[in-house]
Amino acid sequence: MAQGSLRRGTEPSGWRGSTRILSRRFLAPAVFELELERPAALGFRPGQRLRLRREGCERDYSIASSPGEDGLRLLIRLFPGGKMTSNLAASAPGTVIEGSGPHGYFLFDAAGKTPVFVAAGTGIAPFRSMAASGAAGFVLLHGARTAAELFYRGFLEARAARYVGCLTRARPPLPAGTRPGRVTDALREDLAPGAYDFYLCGRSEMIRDALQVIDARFPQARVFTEPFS
Amino acid sequence: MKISTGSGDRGRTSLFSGERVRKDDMRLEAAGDLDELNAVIGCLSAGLPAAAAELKPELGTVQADLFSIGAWLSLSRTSPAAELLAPLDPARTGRLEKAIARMEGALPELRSFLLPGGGAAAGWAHLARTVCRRTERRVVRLFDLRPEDPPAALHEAVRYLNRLSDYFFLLARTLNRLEGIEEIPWRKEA
Repeated sequence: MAQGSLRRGTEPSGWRGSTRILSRRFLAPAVFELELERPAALGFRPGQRLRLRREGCERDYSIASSPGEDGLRLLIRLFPGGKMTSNLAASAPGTVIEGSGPHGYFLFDAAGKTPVFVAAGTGIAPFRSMAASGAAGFVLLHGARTAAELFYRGFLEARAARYVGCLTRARPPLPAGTRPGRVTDALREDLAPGAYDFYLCGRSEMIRDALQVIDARFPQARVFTEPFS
Repeated sequence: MKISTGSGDRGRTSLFSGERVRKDDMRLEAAGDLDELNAVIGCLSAGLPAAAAELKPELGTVQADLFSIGAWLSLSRTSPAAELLAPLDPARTGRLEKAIARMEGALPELRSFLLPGGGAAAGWAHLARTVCRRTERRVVRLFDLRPEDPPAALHEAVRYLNRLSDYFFLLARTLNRLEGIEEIPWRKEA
């Protein structure tokens, strides 16, 4: 265990209890960032998740903020009819929420090969946390419908060796730093041969499709996955 | 949690620590045998005779221990996730040793080899013992992956599995005794 070398406040330490909503900010019509008060007992690593409970529902959300930040930021897509997300979207600042964490093992290996972050939609959240914690020099492929849904773009682009927004519904002319198509297209066509560590976060269908390309083009690569349920 | 993602349809899968490996990778072979062992214990537990019902929680603890061991088998030494896994606590092996001593103290001394069998529950315990031994052999092979520096967790896993097969041998004898079923000694000529 190398925990002795971690910065204070970053050692994973279990928390279960209640916290409060500090703010809620819509980044797109159906996507909002929820900021929660960070429980003193909660230590986590970039890439880990927070579990929230509301009225019998329980969901995990990747933490978008870094362990060095005061609040806990979550990036949440509002699903039509989704009980949990609707409830959270309607909750005012000050609302008390039950939760636990940290959960998961989707961690960044700074000693690995060139990192390639592959995110779809709100799957960008753990990569924001990793970048805010010092990860740099990564290639980032972010899939979204339109450029407006390339969340945290400015922040991530400034830290990435290469940033590619993969837009599925945008019409030409596309903004700089973007391309048409899915992240799998970028994996197939834009990524030069080389040795990489891949980090995939998003819907399980995206992860399945991305793994097909990675297995074919980069059979020696390490692949860390964080599928949304 | 989705069970089927289809990402392993081409014979490759991801270790817990991220490497994409063939499904016949040594680590997966070991994890697979461990999984089989856990399933056999599930059968054993489900078929415990009423007289041995108090052993069910003990078997449940063993099954949970095997999950913890499985996580260690399914990662590489350099995985960042290894830092988050709790080390395998030698106290788990200590618990087995106490159970072994408890059963040994209540059984008649063994004077010959026994044929695996007797009652059905004892039969499951013997099967668990043999799968446990195979799992142990597979885990020992993992030392070859980094012979200069096998993780402490692998050593502890082997220690645990070594005790566990002894535990199942004694459990088989105990179950036969509790059910009033005679043990079957081995004779050179049947």
